Amino acid sequence: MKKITLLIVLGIIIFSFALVKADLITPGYSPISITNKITNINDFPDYVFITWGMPMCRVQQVGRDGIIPGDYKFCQLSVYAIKKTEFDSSILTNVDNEPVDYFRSIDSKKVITNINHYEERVDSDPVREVIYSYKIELGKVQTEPNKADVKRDFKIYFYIGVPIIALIGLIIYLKKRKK
Amino acid sequence: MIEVIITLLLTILLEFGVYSIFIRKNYKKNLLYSMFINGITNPLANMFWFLSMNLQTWQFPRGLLLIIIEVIVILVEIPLIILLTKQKLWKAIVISIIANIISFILGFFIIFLAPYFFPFFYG
Repeated sequence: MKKITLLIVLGIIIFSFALVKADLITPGYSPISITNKITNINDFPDYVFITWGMPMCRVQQVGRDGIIPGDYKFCQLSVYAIKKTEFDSSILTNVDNEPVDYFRSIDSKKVITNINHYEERVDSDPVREVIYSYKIELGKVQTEPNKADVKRDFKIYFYIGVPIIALIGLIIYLKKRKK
Repeated sequence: MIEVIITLLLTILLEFGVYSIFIRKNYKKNLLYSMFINGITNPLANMFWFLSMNLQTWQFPRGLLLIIIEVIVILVEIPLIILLTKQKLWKAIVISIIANIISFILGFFIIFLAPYFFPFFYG
């Protein structure tokens, strides 16, 4: 009986240590991989799609694969559709002026806003990658993605689950051995 | 995920080898004991280690952290070895230290080299 008690106390100490340690570590957040993608970009061959936002965001072009480039984490990114005939590619390299006036001067259409391109999660969160898909319409501003594919890393369940199973197995084994 | 399972299995096998050298009886039981002991300590030690890797604000030397984790693992394994194998304290200390040093060194090299030998596991 003393052995079983010792084992239970040991188990409690180990898991208390785990909780205390996790409590110390939980302030540690890490960025997860976020991909934003326009799935139907090829439906608009006459348009160029660019991203821009505030504050201090670059003007970047969305590739033909539909991947929306990310930016500085505090950027509130939006995607604009600009007719190819009106698109001035120098806006991509001109970092001195904010392109607000340019957007006003041409017939640009905002198609997506509030793009979530940077996210930090607590390290124990199994979610490590999210792919947001947008199906755009030129007359509509989307604020939410149409689809979110979440990829999870289940290591954390393994790290916690296996020791619990091993401890239960050990207790059962010792009880059986005692009999 | 696969590397976590490989690490645990390797540790169980390596420490089973050390237990079998020091406790020359009933190898099946030695394997079972290694599964129980490392099933408890190895995933928790890995969890602390990998969680600490993501800590960007905590400027704690990684090498020292690794040593602290290994020492805690050794300290936890000593009473478990005594409980399961009924060895004397000094022998349990020796077994725990040697088992963990060997599993750490060999495990480190095997895990480091494994992606080169078994690339299909790692994509």
